[in-house]
Amino acid sequence: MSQQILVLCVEDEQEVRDAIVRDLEPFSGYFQVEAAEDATAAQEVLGETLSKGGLLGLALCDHLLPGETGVDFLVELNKDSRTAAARKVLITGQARLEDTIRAVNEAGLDNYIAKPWKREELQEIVKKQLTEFVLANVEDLLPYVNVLDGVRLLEEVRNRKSDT
Amino acid sequence: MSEAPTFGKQCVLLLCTAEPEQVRQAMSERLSEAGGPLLSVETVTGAEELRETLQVLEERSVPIPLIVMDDALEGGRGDDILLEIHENPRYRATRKLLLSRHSSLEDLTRLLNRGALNTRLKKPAENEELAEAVRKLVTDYFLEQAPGEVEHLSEYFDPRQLSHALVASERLRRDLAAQLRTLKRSFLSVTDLSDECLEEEMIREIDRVLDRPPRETTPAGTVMFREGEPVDKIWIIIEGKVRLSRMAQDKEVVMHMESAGKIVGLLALAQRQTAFYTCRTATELTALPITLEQLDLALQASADLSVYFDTVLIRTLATRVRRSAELQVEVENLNTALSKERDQLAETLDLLQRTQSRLLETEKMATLGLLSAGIAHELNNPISAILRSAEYFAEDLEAIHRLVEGGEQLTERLRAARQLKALPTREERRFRERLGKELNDMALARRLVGIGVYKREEYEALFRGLPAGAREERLKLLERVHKLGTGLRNIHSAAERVTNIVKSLRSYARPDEFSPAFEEIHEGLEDTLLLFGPGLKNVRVERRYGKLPKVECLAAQLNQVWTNLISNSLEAMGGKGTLTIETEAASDGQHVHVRIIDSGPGIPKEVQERIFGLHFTTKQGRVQFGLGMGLSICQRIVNRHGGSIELDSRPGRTCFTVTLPVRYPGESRKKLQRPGTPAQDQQESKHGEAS
Repeated sequence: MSQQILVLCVEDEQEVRDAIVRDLEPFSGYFQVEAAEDATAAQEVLGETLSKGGLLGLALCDHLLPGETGVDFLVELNKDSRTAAARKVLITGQARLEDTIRAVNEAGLDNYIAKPWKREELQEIVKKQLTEFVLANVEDLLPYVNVLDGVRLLEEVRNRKSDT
Repeated sequence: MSEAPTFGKQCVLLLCTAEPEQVRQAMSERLSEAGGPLLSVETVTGAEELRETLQVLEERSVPIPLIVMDDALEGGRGDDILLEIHENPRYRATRKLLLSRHSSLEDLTRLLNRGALNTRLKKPAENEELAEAVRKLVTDYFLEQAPGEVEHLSEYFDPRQLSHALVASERLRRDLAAQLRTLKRSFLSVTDLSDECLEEEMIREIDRVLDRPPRETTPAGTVMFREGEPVDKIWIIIEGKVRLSRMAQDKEVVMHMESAGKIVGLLALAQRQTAFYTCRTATELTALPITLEQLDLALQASADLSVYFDTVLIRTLATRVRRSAELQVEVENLNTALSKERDQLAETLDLLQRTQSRLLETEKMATLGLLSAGIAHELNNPISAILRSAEYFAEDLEAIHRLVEGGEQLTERLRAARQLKALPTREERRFRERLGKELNDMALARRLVGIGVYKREEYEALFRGLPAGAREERLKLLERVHKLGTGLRNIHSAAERVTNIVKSLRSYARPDEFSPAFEEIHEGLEDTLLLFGPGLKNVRVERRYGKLPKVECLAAQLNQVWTNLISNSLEAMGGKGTLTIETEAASDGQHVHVRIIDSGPGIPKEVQERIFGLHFTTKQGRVQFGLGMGLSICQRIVNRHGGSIELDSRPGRTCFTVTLPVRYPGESRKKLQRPGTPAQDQQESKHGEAS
């Protein structure tokens, strides 16, 4: 893999974090799945990845976090040119409508997952969002054909070949 | 009337007689002497001459106080001539004296009845007798026609006559005075008489004057006359009562009963003979009906009756006027009472509405409490099942481990995973990096840290004695076991949290709490804080709990207070800052203080004063979120506990101090009933007013 693509999960409750990380296991061989308990820890991980030339592919955030809220964090990501392209998903049980609207308008929120979530649902959403990300940001799509939406990726691969 | 004779002006005494010259002369002298200087005597002998003389005298306007008429005249009888003269109004006042030998009674009666004769003397009249009669008649004349002259002329007049006249005039004066007194008595003196006496007098007088007119007896309930219909008589009530009423909006309004008085039909007389009231007998009635003609007659005939009647009338009308005034006052009073009642009703309505909203609030909380408790109860079962299942999973796994080779290691990893305290993600990454460098294998390091192996030595101990080919296999197995372990741990801790929430919810809501009990204030505060859950994530909660006695209270209600106050604080701080909860036993040992302090921007002074008001609104007329309603509920609950809430606020520190007595107020304790029942609500409104 030429470039590390980070999947960042921000969730303060350890049991929930464990559950999400385990749900994301199918992707862990292809993406760098990292968990953080708050926005500060998330920024650290992100900083490391970016400094190593990695990309942020997907941010999966709870809203109510100690310190900065999930929406605030997503808005920040959206403002930073290095992370603006990342797909952004809110996974929460407590975000109010206003917060969510703000996430959509200001953070370019791509998806909203209500707790409690189902594993298949979460995996489906992550798969779709990461497919979008790699289609838009990655040159070599073939490594992701097995883990993401293979049909769409292969189609894109063919398209690109015919373009050149 | 002829011209009044004045002093110095000659008046004429006419002597008409057909007597021979000598006798005429003697008579004339005598008369002249008797008449005095005022009178000159003219003598005529016949009717024709008399007429001529009268003609002349009339032209000269000479008054003729007296005609002395002999019955034998030339050309006519004396009495006829006198009558003829009397017919002329000019000579009405002239005194007329007839001298006759024989006069029939008829003749004299004729003259007398016409007023044409004042004196008749029998012929031949004695000189003295004639002189005296003349003096008397002339004096009479002057007394009547020119009383002012009499004084000056007294010597010429008949002194007896004068004194008579004086006596008569005095009597007249006295009569007049008496009459005046009588009249005065009608309105003044008669007031001394009681109504009954006066009425008796009046009826007696009517009976006397009208010769006891017949009484009428009417049974009770009879309409005697009807409003607006003609009435041509009055009734003087002798016994019984009537009711006077008028129609008002299709309703008969009784105006007078006791106040009707003894005379009815009077207003009708004043009102052009149509009745003002409808008069109905209230009892059997005995009355004296009197037509207007009879009344007129009777009043003319008796001054006393006038007095009595007028007085009774005035008293009757006065009574009715008084009654009307009383009715007016009564109506005023009724209006006042009515408007007072209306105000009271409005107040009551307002109170009811407020009570209703309170009831609703109480009901809502009770329902919420019941629901929460119900949910909590329902949750206990699945949680118990989850916890128990997790326990058995662990036991079963360990049993399986005992059956496989190297199973002890698996059990050890499982237990370690279950006990493992999760590291902060940051530290985990540090371990990962270090281990990765030491092993020169980042992927392996990641997996090892994932199963809680942070050090190289640990790793080496774990795989010691295993061939390199079997290591991957073992690692996979350990990863699985670790995940089982942490999964079990997570199940346990998550279920634990649910259990705590359920417990707090139940002790918070307490739907079955109807009487105060001694409770730990701190427990209620902790339950409340726990239920705020994620709302407190960005708030530093500082607990400064003092040593408190148990407080006799309704814990669920106090939890509402803590919830409202903490909620207000969080709202004020925008969810970030420091929330300090401070408790302290008062030095008197009878009270405790609970302070909820936030680091928010503070509440403006002008808002502080109204903040506990039920209808507190901001300038825009909108209820400020989290304030107002909530605080008025707090106030009511605390008041019911016999406590108080104080507010002290400045930027950066807003402190609500709740002071509670250790003992619940005794009076309230007795009255305490199910929430939302009227007795308790009364309690509430009483406290509400006091606050």
